[in-house]
This record gives sequence, C-alpha cells and structure tokens, in this order.
Amino acid sequence: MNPNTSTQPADQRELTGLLNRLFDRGLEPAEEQRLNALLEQSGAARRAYLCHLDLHLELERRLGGFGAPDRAAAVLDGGAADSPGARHLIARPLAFGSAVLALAASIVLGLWLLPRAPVEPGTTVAGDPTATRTADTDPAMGATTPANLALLVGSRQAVWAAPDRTDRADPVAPGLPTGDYLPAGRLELEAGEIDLSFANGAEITLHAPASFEVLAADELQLDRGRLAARMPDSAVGFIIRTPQSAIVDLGTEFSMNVHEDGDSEVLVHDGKVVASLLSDSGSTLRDYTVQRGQAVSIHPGRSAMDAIDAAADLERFLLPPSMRPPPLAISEAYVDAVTSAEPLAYWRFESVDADRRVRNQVTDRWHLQLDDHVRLEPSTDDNLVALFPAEADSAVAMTTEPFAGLNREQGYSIELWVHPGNASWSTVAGLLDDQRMDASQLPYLSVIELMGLSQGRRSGLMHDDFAVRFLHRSPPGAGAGFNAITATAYRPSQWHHLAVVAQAGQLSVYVDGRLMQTTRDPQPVFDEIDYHLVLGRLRPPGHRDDQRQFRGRIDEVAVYPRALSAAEIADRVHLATKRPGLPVVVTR
Amino acid sequence: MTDPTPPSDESASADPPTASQAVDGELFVRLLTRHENDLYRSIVALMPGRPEVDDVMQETAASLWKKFADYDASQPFLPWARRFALFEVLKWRQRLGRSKLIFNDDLIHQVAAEQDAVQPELEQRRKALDICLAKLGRRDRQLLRQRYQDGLTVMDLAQSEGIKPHKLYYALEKIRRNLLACIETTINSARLRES
Repeated sequence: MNPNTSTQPADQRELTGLLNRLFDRGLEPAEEQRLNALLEQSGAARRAYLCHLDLHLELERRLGGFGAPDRAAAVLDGGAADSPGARHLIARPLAFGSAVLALAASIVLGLWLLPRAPVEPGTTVAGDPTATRTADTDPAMGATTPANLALLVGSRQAVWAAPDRTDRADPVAPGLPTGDYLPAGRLELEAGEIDLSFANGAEITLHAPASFEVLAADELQLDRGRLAARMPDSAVGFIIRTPQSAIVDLGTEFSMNVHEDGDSEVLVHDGKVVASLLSDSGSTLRDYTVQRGQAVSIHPGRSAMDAIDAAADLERFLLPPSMRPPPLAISEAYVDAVTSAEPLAYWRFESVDADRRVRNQVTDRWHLQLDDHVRLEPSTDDNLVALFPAEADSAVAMTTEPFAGLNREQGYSIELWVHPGNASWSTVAGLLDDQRMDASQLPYLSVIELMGLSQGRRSGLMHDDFAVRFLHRSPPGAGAGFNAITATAYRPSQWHHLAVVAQAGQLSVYVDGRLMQTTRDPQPVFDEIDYHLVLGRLRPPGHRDDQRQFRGRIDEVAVYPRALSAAEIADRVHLATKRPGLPVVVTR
Repeated sequence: MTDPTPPSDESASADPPTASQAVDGELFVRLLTRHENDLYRSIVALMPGRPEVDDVMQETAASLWKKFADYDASQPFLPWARRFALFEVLKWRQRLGRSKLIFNDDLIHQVAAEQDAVQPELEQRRKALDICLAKLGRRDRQLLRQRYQDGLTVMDLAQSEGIKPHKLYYALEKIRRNLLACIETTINSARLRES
C-alpha cells in the first residue's frame, strides 16, 4: 500500500510539511487546525501520518539509542540497581510510578518497571560497560573510525604496506599478529590474504593488493582489492563501500572485486545483497538487488550497472570461507576420564528427549532443559554439540533441579568446550540461587564470561579483549565479588576447552588445559544454598535478557563437587585427541 | 464512532492481582515487554507532540495489568492493548479540557481505527529503513545523527552549523521525504520480486 495514493499531491506535500514541523519545532494553533482537517479528510492521509510518525520514532530509536542497560548485568558487576540507561528523545522507555510498581511487585515485573534515567553521550554507565555509548559511535548508521572494530583472525603470507605508504598516523607494521584488532584508518595489504571477524558475526576475507578501511562495526570501505564475505543474520545491513558504489548485505555470502579504475563487481553465492551506484555526493543513482547465483558489474564512469555471467570466470572471485564451523572431535578416552572423575553431572549433548531435555550421563538427576532455541548440531560423524543460534534473541539451557552443597570448602569445578560464534561479550555459564530465580538482583554464585567486544567496542573493564572471566560472589548476590580474568585467551570461531575451579577462596581459570589466571578471595563465604546451572546467558528462562547472550556452540559440560587439579585438566585436553598426535580442534 | 471498551468495573479493576494470577504475571510481562515499543508509538500517534505520553503509557500499563485476567490469549495482544491505550488517551484529553490539543476526539478515534491495519506495513517499513539509511549521503547521515543522536534542536543545530534555521528545517524535511520515498520503492520492489 502506498499511503499517499488517495490524497491529492498538494495535500500530501502540505501534510508532510506539517508533520516535519510537528517533529522539529511543534505546531502553531493554525497549523494544528490544518493538520486536523487534513487527517480527517481520508484514511489514506491518516495512514500516511502513521507511517511518517513511525519513521520519525524509528529514527529516534535507532539514532538516539534505545536499549536500556541490562540491570542484571549492572547488578552482577556490582553496579547500582538504578544505573542510567541509554538516552531517549520521544521513544523513551517506560518510567512507571510507585502505584504501578507496588501493584506489580507481587509478580515478576521487577527490573522492567524501574525508572531509567537518561545518560549523556560519552558517558560510561557505572557497572555496565555494555551501555557505553560515545558521540562518535553510531551503530545504526556507521561511525567515525575508532579502532577495535574488526579482529584479525587469520593471516596468510600477509605483507602490509610500509608506514610511509599509508596515510595513517600509526600505521600497521608488517606482520600484524593475528588475534589483534585492526587499528583505525586506511590499510594497505600488499600481498597475501587476511580474515577479519566483526562483533556482529560478519566474517570477511581480503586478498591483496587491497586498500581498505573499517569505518564502523558494520561498515567497511574497500577502495581496491578482492573480498569474500559471510554474513550471518546478526550482520544483516552490513555495508561494503567502494569509491562510488555500495553493497548492503541482506544476510548472505558474496564476493566482491574493486578495480583500480573504480569499477567493481559482486557475485552472490547465497542470500541477496543490494548493490548501489552512488553519485559524487554519495546518494544513490541506481540500485539493484542481486540474488543468489547472480552477479553485477558497477561502472561509475558511465553510471552503469550490468548483469554479468560470473560462472564463466569464477576464479577471478575470492570464495567465502566455509560456513561450517571447525569440528570438535571428542575421544572415548576423554569421555571415560570425565566420567571416572565422578562429576555430579556430565552433559554430552548427544540426544534430546521429547521434553527437550539433555540427559546427565552419570546419574538420573540434574538433566539439562533446553529452551526452544537451543538445538543439537552434528560437529563430527560421532559428536553432536549444543548450538545457541546467532539469529536467536534468547537461547538458554538450565538444570532440571539445583545442585545442593556446591559452595563448600572442598570447592567445585566446571569444565566445558566452547566455540564462540562471534566476537561479542557473552555469558557461557552461571550458577544461580534456586530460591531467588525471580529476584531483580540476580543472586549468582559464579559466572563464566567471554569478554569480547561490547556493541563493537571494548568492554570497559581493565583487561585484554577476548579474556575469559570467572566471577565468583559469595554470598551470592552481595557486593561485586572477585574476578579471575585471563589475559587474551580465546579466539572467536575456534573451539576452546574452559575449566574454572573455586576452592577455599581461590579462583582459577584454565583455557585449553593451561592455567591462565588465579585470584584469591581473602574471606570466602560458604553456604548450603542450592544452585542451578544456566548456560548461554545471565538470566534464567522466562526472563528478559538482551545482553551478553551467548551465540555459538557448547559441548561436554561437566560439574564437579570438588576442585579439579591442574594435572587433571591438562590431561583432559590431551585425552580429547582421538589419535595421538592429532589436535583435538581442526581449524579450517 | 463507538467508544472503546473501557475497563468495565473501576472498583474491581483497582484490586491487586491475586495469587491465582501469578502464573499469568510472567505472560503479562512477556507480552507487554514485546509490544511496549509499538504500544508506546500508538499513544504518541494519538497525542503527538504532547509531553504527557509517558503518563498515559503508565496508566495504560496499569489498566492492562488490572484487566489482564480478561485477556484472551488466543488473540493478538497489541490490538487488545491498544483499546486501553485509546481509552486512557481519551481520559487524559477529558482531564485537560479542550485547550492546547492537537487532535479532537473524532480524529483520535479515526487514527486509532487505522493503527491495527497499518501495523504490518510499519514493520515492513522499519526493515526497509535499514537499506535506505545506508543509501544516504555522508552529509545527510551527519545531519540526522546530529538531530537525533546528539539530541540537538533545530535551532541549536542551525546555530552550531552556522546556517539559517529554515534551511535546516528544509534539509531535514528533504531527508525524511527521501527516506519515505526510498522505503516505498524498497517495499514495492520486494513485492514485485515476490509476485
């Protein structure tokens, strides 16, 4: 439906003008009367009004910031329960009064009803670094060029331009190590090939010679070179800009070549993109939706876009990396070792019953309840893993009954395999007080987090990015607790073995069998509380949790009522190898 | 034009939720959380430019909770909730009298009557906006960012940019017109491809 089709063009223009004045400065009395008259004339005018108003509100939501901070996260980090949220203009979140608050107190409205005060741009929200927003950050439209937007996850014979050949103040030295962020500014790749990973899950491979710049968490400028991109649903809207064209991803895999003369071509392998030819001022002259199997060439010099037959010369395109994640092969020896270590629970995720429960391998208690979004996925011919999909807003698994007496002097341990599907900060697992599951201040005993990027930026805590965090809080829900945070320890899109151990106040984190960090709580408090294990996010099922949702894969989760030793953990990783000499993780 | 069905029994509606409603509490929160954005926009549409929108939203949420036992879970939540929003807007209007109002009673009813029908299109349009924002030129992007992200009024913005306010009004209007046109084109193109 075109909401304007049933009104006269002059009325349309007048209506649009009045609405713009309404949004930008308010209306004079005479203008209000005229708006009333126009809207009373026809349903089409009223629909046009609703569409126009919604555009205005949507712009405010996207550009003014809408996501309130996760109060659970703030509480978890020791922040104030009334931490300020993102700022709002018209589309403010709800700020309910005490009467409603009291009314709702008997149910689970808790966090949702609390007033959320505005925060100025550039303010770091106390206790919730995920809510950090600066004036130069613009997730809806792209940002200026901060660093830490894209992670270099692969490098094959890459040679970067010498510093004096770039226009950057702090150019990349040859041999930029994988695992580091790309710095801000234009970069020149003279030889080889690199792989980039973005916080939204986008993966891009670039082949030299290439000149490019990461403009924002979802935007890359490619002035020259060959590129292959794999964009999950979470990266829909990602933009590849060239000097006079742009590709907007709609959830796809595609390849793109940008030539020295400014011509470019794009081939879509799966999904679709919108290819646009831009004018000198950057506005769109022509655009074309390129579907799976189609290719177009874009010629700014003659303002033309042509369909081309890419199949005749596929080799000129760089092909995207395989969609399939690296397989995780688990040997029988590994399974035997875990079982003989007498865990309380060991979930292998090899099957799920009709009630969506994954059975505990070692006893008929403490099964794992999956929600509707978590599913099992084959990793190898004989190993299934739990997938927390990238497209799910919420995916969580929780024990069917709590563990008793876990937080005692003898300690406890949790180990698992994890494959982070993106570079975002996310919660892998937590232990939650069974009696206070609905509490607004989540009473976590401990949380295991992957400290990647938070909304495309660094998390704000003083640690290296891609650290693993083991937060322990005793008694649960009180104070900020103690952190054991590793140095940079994991890579997105690779399998890692994680183990955390808490014993008599000592907190230890192991990554891939190696002790990475130890911290001591000088005054540990033990308790007789029963704890549920929650996988995939901070909050249990049935509760809103928009941030720190884990997206990726988890397997072989085990919970022990004692401290595992360093030797046990190291042996475990060694035993996971199916055959001697082979790595457990086969990376692509 | 008929009035919406208001909460029928004010004395009963003031009762707090009972223990038997506890199970529905989570459903209520889930539904209201899911639809709060659209419900809020529905209220803005009935009283544009009014600062009391938050108050009316608050009253609406309270009414919804009081009457949640009457909600038929087999029916969509948003249209049901909008009836209460309309009722609360009309109550607000009565309290305020007839001064300083943009919409009269009839028009409020007329706009409210369109809201459910236009909802699917609004959702399509929001998706198309992704593409259209990306197509904007650098200057237009910067202007929108200053207007919405930095929260500057047009007067402030004009002063900081050193241009006359009416030129800025026109520039913003032109950007929104272009976005509206782009959204139309994008949706129509998608329909053509699907047909």
